[in-house]
Amino acid sequence: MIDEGKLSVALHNLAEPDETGPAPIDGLLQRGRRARFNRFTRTAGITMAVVAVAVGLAAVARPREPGPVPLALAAQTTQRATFQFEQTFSLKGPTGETIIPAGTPYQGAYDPVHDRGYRIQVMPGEPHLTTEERQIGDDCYSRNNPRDPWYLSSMSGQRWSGCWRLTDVAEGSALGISASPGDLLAELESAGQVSYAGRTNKGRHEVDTYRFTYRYALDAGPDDHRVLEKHGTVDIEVSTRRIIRLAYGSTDVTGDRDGRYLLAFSQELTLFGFGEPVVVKKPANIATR
Amino acid sequence: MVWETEYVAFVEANWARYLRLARLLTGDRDRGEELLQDSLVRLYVRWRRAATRDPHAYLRRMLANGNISWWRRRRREYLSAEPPDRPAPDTDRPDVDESVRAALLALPAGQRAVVVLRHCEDLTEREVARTLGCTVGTVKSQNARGLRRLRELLNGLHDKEKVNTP
Repeated sequence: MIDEGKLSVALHNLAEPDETGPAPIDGLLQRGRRARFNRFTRTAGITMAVVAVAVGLAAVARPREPGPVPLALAAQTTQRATFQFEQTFSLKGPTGETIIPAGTPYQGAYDPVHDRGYRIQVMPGEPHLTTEERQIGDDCYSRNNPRDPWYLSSMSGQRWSGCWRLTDVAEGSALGISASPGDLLAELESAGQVSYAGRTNKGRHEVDTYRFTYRYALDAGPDDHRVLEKHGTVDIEVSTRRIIRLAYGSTDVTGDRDGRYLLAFSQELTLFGFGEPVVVKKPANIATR
Repeated sequence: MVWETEYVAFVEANWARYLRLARLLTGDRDRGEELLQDSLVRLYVRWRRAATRDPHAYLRRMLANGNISWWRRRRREYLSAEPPDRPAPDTDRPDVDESVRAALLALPAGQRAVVVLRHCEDLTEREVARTLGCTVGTVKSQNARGLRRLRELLNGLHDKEKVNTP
């Protein structure tokens, strides 16, 4: 029988060094250097791959805009692609009375590159009052309800009486301002005094906001020289440098004797669906005014 | 390079000691030398870090874990292919030493590492635990089981010799 003590001694004896040759130093150093080199190249390769991926991602990701997106640049960028929009209007009289309340919005789409677009206003519960306009270049097709024929007018001949009118109300029309998103964007491109109001939201949803106020002259007819003042705000999506919202008011500040034209008009335009196809077809059954 | 000179000095001073340990862990002369050389190459790559701590502890851990990994690989091969050849016995020491060596080889690799480090290398239970990356409790239990198994095996061998003796 072997007891624990003897076993322990026997095990300890196993550890006694026996005859061994010298350590193969040269071989170990050779293998060690090679392993070290391989480890270095592997680490360097992984590091380079990581750096390459990081550089690639950085190149793909749009760098953060360091400063505000210039309004003129945003207006130009917005006019390079199609978009959908929603418009609401309201009109107030000289004493602040509401002539047209901000009601049912217009839904539409516009292709600034080919200068064509449409807008529809569907009155809730009253489909027979649905109005629609289609603009294809210089041609404007419009109808006041689905049972009417389409009427053709020229955009260049009587720019504000065809498509994109602000309102059918005579006083409003007298303001002579187009509600065409294309015209509004072009106007913003050369807007007068603008001031940067700051950046809100985060990441892809960052928005730069500008406030603007400027006056401009309008010839509304013989001996009827008007001065209008526009004031409002415009929101720019920083990541795409596009205008996504425009809200403005326009007031006749000519100071008319009887205050006939002292109207306050406001519009809110929201832009979305950039780059989606906009199809505007010439309608059948066209009547000439 | 200064660190390479230190490494060479360490290997030259400890080659025989760790070759013995590697052979005890593997139960095979050639396989032991192969394990030690592989471990020393890995120690070379990590020398600057190992030297600032305890190169002996680094090397012992590499030897013990390297042998356990090798046995695990062998077991998988065993399950999927022909049974491997048994390692050739180390015939340098006759008699008792050879019996103990043969009995050690019958222990599972992890248990054998505990017994060898504890009794052949004279490490404390705490040092064995640190070397193998396990708890002191595991070392204690594995050591007790290992010794019991070794006694059983050696007593069995002893009885067999008695029977065979005329």
